[in-house]
Amino acid sequence: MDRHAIHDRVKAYILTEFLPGEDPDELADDTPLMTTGILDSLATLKLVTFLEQEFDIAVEAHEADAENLDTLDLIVALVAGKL
Amino acid sequence: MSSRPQPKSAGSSAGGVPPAIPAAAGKFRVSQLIRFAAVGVQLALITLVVRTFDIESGAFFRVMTIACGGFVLHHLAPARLRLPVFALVSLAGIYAVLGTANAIQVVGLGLLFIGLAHLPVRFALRVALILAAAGVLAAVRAGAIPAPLSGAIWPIFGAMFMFRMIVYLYDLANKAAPFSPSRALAYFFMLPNVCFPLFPVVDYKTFCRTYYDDEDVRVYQTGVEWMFRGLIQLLLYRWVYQNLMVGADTVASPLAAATFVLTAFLMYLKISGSFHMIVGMLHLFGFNLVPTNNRYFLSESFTDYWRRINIYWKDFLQKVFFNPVYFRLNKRMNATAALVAATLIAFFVTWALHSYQWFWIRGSFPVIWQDIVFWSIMGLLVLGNMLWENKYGRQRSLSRAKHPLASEAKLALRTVGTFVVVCTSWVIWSSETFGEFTLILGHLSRAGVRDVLVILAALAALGVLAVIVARAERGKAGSRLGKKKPAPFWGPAYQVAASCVVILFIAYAPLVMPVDPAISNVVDNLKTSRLNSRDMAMMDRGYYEDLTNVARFNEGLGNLYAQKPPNWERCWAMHSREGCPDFELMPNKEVWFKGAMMSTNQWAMRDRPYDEAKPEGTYRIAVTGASHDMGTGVGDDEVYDNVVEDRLNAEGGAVHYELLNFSVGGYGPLQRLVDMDLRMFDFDLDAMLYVGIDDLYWMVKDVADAAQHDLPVPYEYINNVMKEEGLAPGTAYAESVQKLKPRSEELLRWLYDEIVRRCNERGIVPMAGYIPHMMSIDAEPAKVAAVRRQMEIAREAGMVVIDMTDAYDGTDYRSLWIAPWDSHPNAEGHGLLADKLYDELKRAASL
Repeated sequence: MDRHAIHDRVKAYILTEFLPGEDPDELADDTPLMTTGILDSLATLKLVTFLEQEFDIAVEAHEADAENLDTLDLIVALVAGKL
Repeated sequence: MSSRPQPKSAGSSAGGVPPAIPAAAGKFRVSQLIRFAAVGVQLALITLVVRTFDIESGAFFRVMTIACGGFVLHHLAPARLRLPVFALVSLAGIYAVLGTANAIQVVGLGLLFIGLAHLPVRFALRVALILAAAGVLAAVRAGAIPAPLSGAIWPIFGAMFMFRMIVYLYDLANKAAPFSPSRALAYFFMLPNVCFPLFPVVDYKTFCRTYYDDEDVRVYQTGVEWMFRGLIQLLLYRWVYQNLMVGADTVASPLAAATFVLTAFLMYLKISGSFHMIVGMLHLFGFNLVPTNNRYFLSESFTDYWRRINIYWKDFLQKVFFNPVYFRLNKRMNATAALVAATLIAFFVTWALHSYQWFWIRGSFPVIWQDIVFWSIMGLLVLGNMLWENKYGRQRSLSRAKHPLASEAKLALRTVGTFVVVCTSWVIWSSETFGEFTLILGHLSRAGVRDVLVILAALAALGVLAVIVARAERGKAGSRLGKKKPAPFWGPAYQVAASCVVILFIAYAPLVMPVDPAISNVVDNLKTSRLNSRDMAMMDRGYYEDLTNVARFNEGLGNLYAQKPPNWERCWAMHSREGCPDFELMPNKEVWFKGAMMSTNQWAMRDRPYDEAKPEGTYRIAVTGASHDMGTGVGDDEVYDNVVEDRLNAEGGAVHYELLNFSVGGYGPLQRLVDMDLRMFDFDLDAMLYVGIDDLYWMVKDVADAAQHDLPVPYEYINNVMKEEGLAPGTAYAESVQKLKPRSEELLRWLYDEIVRRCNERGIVPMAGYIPHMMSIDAEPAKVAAVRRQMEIAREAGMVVIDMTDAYDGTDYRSLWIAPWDSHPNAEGHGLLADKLYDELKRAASL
């Protein structure tokens, strides 16, 4: 799966699940998500569960942090690195 | 150091030199140089305010000074040397604050632990070795193993390693960040830690990742802004502590109870202010850490509160405990069950680690109901909130969309609701007894219409504030998310500098121009870190009460007590007994107590040997008082009654004088009356000098204590008073005091009448002597009035009053304390008391 497809699926999930009704253009690839509270701890866990199920990957507990999940770019890189 | 491969993901940000540095370091642009200088000016002004208002301690000012110099050095250093420079500056701070010997011990032990973490053996073995070493240190800390280590190092060494070593090992195990000697030194010994035993749990990975992850001067500017916020919070804390914080026993109205509830929460300003200072100072060295204690009083839910109140703790817990538990359980059970289990475990760990923290800082591992109840309440509230959000979601937005009025009203209500519940739980946490908590609730339940309106108005103001702040934050977030605008520099810089100048002007204006005395008094009080009335009272009571609670929530008193040598309070010449009083002095003892040798005679008096029968030609005076009069902390011959006895006998008159000291530390007026009945009147006495300080307070306290501890008081009158007021062993001390206070004069009058009656029956001259408080009470009219009133009651009862309350006038009261943490008078104080008593006795004799 190419990064583009990963990007689109993750972005769609975040918009649907956490930002319903939000203009998709507002969510840029480098929009901070964890450090601005869009992804709080509960939302992070939901996102991780989604990533694991959607892309059939395993995310380790220590990977569920801002370094890997703070922006769409980082999330895509994490997923792509595990595929 | 470990030779394991470094993580790929950390390469650009955490691993090597961040991209922000190379272009900037060493090649100053003029605009950058000007902004760097502007930060320097703000930092210097903040340091001056710290000095002027004696913020935290003298040690903190030294660290601030080192930070100022280190800030310049660090910034001027080549990029690759900045981290080692920060590590060296941090070590210099440890040396400056702790001194050579203690610094060597802290750094030496620290290097040992860091070394163990990087031994070239299996990771599990390294962890085992570290646990073993920590176990040995814990045994030393608990006093179970003797070791040539200074007691002064524990709070700081503990603060540096007790949590950060856990984080460090976690990241080491997961190879989650880069490791090097300078990083390890910088991380564990980071500069401001040496002044702050309570320190945010800085995450190692974040510490590495955020190092210069933005333009350097912007990171520095954020730092001084946070330090300034911390400064304001610490000043506000001091004002609240000195002016609003009272004991539960003094709360007498619904509004006073509401203030009590509010101040319980406001005590957190101390932690919040310190954390702002700490994180701000780390920014000066490039660590662009997340904001701390971000408007926690405006939390709109319990999960929001948990995130805002201490995000460093929440992140630590989530990383090391919550996530690993959740990820593991989620594979075996459904997500909700895993969430519940992980949350409950996280809060259990929070409770345990708080006690663990106290162990390293104070030396005891408190297991008390207040902690258990508080963390249970917090855990359940956060869990409930998480489950709600899990089911119904939480409103989030990226844009600056307008929020309808109904939505903002809900936000206000949620904020107020969260605030009320959090404040209430803080009262439970800080209460000495559960009865104290119900006493406060009782006052609130009796609120009248006016009280309710005042409280509702205050809460409504909080709700409005929450809406205003939320609007402003949405505006900022919208612009930041949308356009990635950098944070402003000059506006905040002007604000910080101008505010500091205004604060300094207010502080120094009374020196150069006429200022309203009320204002200059407030400013003067803010300039000094002194104990408030409640803590002074607690210090007095501390003689025989459990001090764990004192240290938990009275930071000022806790710090003082932390300096106490072990067993400072233990008097080996005392033992417990059945009845009332429930302890007494033992005969023929010679013990070391509070820094001085203390001897008791064959009659269990802290005094010289005397015969029971009075020698011919002797005038014999019995002295009965408490710890001050027993001579706590001074040598036998320095106790004021002995000094007076020696002076009277040195005059070489026909009469020989004996002053028999029946005083026992911890005995209040009631216990002294029992003691008189038990033993004093066996002696042939000419006069009896009853000594007090604040008998109206102590009489109430004695009766409240007797009720609380179910002591068998041998006086029908007192037992009837207890019955009439409904006092029982389960009654909270604060509640008993409140009930008895209106009867304090009646109680004291009864006591003095009883003493006088006994003396008259035996032909003994009854005298009442009053010695000063150990702090000036001039500014406290109620205390001054109580001192006068007790003397009037004594005179009315027929006692000869000897007023020694001005004995310490013209002297710095604190210079008369036997130790900074113990306000009993030292030898000089006893000398002043002796001078006064001698003069007054001579005057009374001549009359």
